[in-house]
Amino acid sequence: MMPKVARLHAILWGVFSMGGFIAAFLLPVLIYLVGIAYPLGLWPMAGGDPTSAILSHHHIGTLFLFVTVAGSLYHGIFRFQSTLTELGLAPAKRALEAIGYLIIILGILAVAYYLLLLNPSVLSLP
Amino acid sequence: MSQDIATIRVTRYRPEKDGKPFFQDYKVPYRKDMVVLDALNYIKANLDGTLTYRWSCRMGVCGSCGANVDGVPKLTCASFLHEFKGRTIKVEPLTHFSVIKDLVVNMDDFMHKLVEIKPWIIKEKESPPEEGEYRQSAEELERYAQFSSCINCMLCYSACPVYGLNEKFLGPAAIALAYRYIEDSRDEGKDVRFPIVHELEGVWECTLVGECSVVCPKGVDPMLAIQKTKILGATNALKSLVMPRGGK
Ligand code: SF4
Ligand code: FES
Repeated sequence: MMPKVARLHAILWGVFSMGGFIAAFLLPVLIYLVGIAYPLGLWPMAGGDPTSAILSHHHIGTLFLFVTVAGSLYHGIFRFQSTLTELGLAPAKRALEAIGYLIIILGILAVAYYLLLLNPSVLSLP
Repeated sequence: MSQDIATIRVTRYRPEKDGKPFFQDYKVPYRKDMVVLDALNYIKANLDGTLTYRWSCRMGVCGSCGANVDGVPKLTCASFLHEFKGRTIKVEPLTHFSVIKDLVVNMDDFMHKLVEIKPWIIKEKESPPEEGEYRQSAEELERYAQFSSCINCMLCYSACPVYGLNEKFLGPAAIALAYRYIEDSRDEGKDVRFPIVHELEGVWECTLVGECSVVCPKGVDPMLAIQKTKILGATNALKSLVMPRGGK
């Protein structure tokens, strides 16, 4: 049986790994839509920017934005914690880890809040 | 065959006598087929009998001749002198280990870790010899074959910055070897090995630097073994969360 703390770390690593994997696929799509296609006039849909279009056209769009932003945030902060080990900051790592997880939780809650604000109909999903 | 002269700059250190390590230069005549280990043997035989280093097979099998050659962890018996032509060749002890004398490092920590992961096939119940050998298909062998090529040379530990920062980290070769048995279809020791490799200072300490796999002279990919072991750990942890009684 895996030790308790290690088990928690294993689960967090699993989310990190999955989050990074998914974000690596979705983030370029989002960057292309918002950062390249829209400013260059390649965005085909009239009357709105890609983010509003994604949000207003389908709940899947909201989920897409949530997974991309939350997954990237989680992955980034988790990776930053690994960098602390590499920098030899292991003694301060525990405290900094706590701050890292706090940023992750607050960040994910903020993303969820803003997406719900922009698309409240998600809550009325059957 | 024509001969060149190589300058070998070797770390000398006798902890009980010297305050700190120092370099000593030796001029060694060499031919194209000579390696750094040949140069060390030449020095010991002809120039300075006090020089101390490990070696045995001279053919990349025993894993005992590892040193930092020109700043990179290498087997001295597999590093050709002509590759450094025109340069002073620095030969230093493997990093991250305490020095016993000159190029000889203390291997105790590594040896303990090797034993800890139980590098042998564990069976819940041994079958008697008359029942024959434990059979395995070519595909089953393929799943762990590369990880069984490790010669315990410790180059990967010397290259690993995480091990340098935390000596408790189980480290690349020990995890690769544990994974070799975890993946072996004949083995039934997962319950014994998982708690060791999935400890916080087991696989989770690894930050995926990957230098272990770069320096390995036998083509073992410890970084891959660590990642695969992490995936097994995460899957098992998630399973035990969803099915507290069923998951391991
Ligand atoms: S994994 Fe490679 S570098 Fe590490 S001890 Fe084994 S043979 Fe040497
Ligand atoms: S002397 Fe055996 S591996 Fe180099």
